[in-house]
Amino acid sequence: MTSTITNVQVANSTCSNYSKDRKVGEGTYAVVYLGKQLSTDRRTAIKEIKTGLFKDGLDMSALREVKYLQEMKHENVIELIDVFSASNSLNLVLEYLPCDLEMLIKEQSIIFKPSDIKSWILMTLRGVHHCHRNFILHRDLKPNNLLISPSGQLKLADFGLARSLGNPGEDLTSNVVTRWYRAPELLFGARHYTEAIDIWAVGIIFAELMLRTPYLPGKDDVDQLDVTFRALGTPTEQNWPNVSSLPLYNSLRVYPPPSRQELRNRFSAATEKALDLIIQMTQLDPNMRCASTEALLHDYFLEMPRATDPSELPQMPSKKKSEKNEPPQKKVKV
Amino acid sequence: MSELRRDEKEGENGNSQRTFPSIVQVARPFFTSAELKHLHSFTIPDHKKLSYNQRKHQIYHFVFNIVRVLKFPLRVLATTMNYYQRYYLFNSFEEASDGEEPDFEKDPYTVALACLFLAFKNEDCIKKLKDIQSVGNKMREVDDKVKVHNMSYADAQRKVIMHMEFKLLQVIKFDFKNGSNVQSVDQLVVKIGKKLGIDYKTTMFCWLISFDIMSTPLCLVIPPHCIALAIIIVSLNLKPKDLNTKYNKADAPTSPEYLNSILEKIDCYEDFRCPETLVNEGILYILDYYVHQMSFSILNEFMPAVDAETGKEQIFKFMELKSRFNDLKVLSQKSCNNYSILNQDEYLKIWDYNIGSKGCSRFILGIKRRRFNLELDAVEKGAIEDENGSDNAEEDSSRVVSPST
Repeated sequence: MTSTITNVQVANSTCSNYSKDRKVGEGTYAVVYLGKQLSTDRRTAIKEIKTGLFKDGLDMSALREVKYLQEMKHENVIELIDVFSASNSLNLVLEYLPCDLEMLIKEQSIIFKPSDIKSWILMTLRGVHHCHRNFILHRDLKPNNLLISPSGQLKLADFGLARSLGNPGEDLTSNVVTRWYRAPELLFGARHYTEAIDIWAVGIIFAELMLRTPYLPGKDDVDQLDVTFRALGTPTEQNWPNVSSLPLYNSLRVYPPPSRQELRNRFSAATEKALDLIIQMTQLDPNMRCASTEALLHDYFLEMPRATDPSELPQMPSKKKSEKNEPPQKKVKV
Repeated sequence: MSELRRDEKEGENGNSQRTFPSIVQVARPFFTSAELKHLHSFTIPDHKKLSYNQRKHQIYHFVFNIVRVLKFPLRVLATTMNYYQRYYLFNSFEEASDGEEPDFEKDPYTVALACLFLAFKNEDCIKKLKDIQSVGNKMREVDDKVKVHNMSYADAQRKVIMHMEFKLLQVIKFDFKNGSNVQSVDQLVVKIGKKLGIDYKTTMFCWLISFDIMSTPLCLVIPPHCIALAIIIVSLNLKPKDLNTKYNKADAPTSPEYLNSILEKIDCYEDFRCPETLVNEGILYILDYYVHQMSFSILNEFMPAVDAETGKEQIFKFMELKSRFNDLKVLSQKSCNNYSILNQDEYLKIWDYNIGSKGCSRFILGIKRRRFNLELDAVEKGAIEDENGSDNAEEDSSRVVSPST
């Protein structure tokens, strides 16, 4: 699409009034433009979805994104501002968020204070809690999908894999979540899972924020099991009843669960309460893992230091402020 | 709850700036029966009403079989039926001619496949279009390898389905929630039944009704939880005794007094967040349906022809109940009960798919969201600035005050 301006003026101004300024990325099913809402000068990201070009029509992830984002409005969830169709393409107008948590983690020049980490985890949990109380699973939490607004607010983005909570007896695909953040029940190929998979991912992100390097970087699906259990111990029938009946539970190398002291050494900067929260969020048995409510009420958030105010959180150094919104390289998962 | 603002202006301003027609569509998941009638008057001419209904039943049977072969939950079927009926609110119903070259655009079966395709996606039961096509075509005994329009039947059909999917998305106004985020009626009746402590037989009776009602346009009128509650109330009133079901659970028959006590305790709004008028609307619709179509219904197959207690045919029980419910308060249709009012509603027009290609159409779920304040403020500010500067000021500011001319 070459036209730059969709110039429309409608009474009451409930009109589409967006400019597409610059192409910032192209993915399998969408092109992302940087734009502006002309009436308010608000910066937006416009995802133009190519409809009808592909063999399976409207992409599932586009449909999910619209379906779930339309429903939710929360400070810590990306806002879907508009959906409009023009020239036979479908456009999603999303909030413009220039930065993501992964960029910050990788930026060596920034030092994270304990209160900064607390603030990010708190905002992540608030967003996750909002999804869960609406019975929505995000299913793709990772630092790269936690976007940061110019004012420092962290927002969950990329709802391309989200779905509503499964009904009993309904099979869900276990091939979700980027590998490093995949909960053990998913690694074992469970056909039914719950919000706990999102909590696991948050736990791993928490660890990554402290370590400044991915916590469980498996090279492939088999290695992921090994890496995960080397760090957290191999699940057994004792600490996770019925685990052995999951499809992919076989011939595992048995690692002992880490002692508290080992974890203390690994996360040398963590306070006892922070460690507690990580342990609760990364329980191997999904039934033992804490829910988003419990996590939000955890003592870690009550102890000093207080979480940094979003506006005071570290930002990307301005020269490197690349204008990236949503990485458009979507995985299509069936 | 939903409303439409539409304004088309095509360069009448005379300024050099290019302007496009634009339209804002607020998703309207439900219609009153008067509105449905009004819409159908454009899309289904009187002489085609009968064939529309007959075809609808054939199509539903067809879709049901596909869903069954592919082993997908019933809610997929419910969504498909909803989409199919919605499609014909805004698109004229035409029968495919039996000529040599199949005309996919008009073929209701293609519409059904497109609806099914989108419903699969929306209900998170993903299936490749190719698979849906092959199951469907095999069922209709269509050879999808024959050449039509210089390509294979399947490819030609696929192309049209893709195109239709996009049309369908506009028909549903990108509202994937269908106005509510509760489950489908068949799941809800079972859940509500369990919550109220209703026995197996009565719940089964409810489920059978839900299966019948699924194919009616009631899903375009009231939300699923209200339909479900209406079904429960109807069943509790009828207190079915003899139901021929495959699995007859041998629990002790519940006494009518017990069912009555449940019935009395139901508080539509407090317990289930169902506005009473909507539930009443549902109750009357269900009773009407059985009074008129008892012999075609699925429920009928599971009941003995004659009610043991009264010695009369089953239909009389429904008629009797209906007469008792005659004075229920239902939806007021004052705002849409005559042609001139309905005609003013721009939403109820055959949808012009070209708007999106000439200008743009914007789809929103509701108008309650705060962001409009921002936009409104901006426009008001703009209007004031215009007043000071440009000659068009008067026109522009009046536009803000009175939306449509």
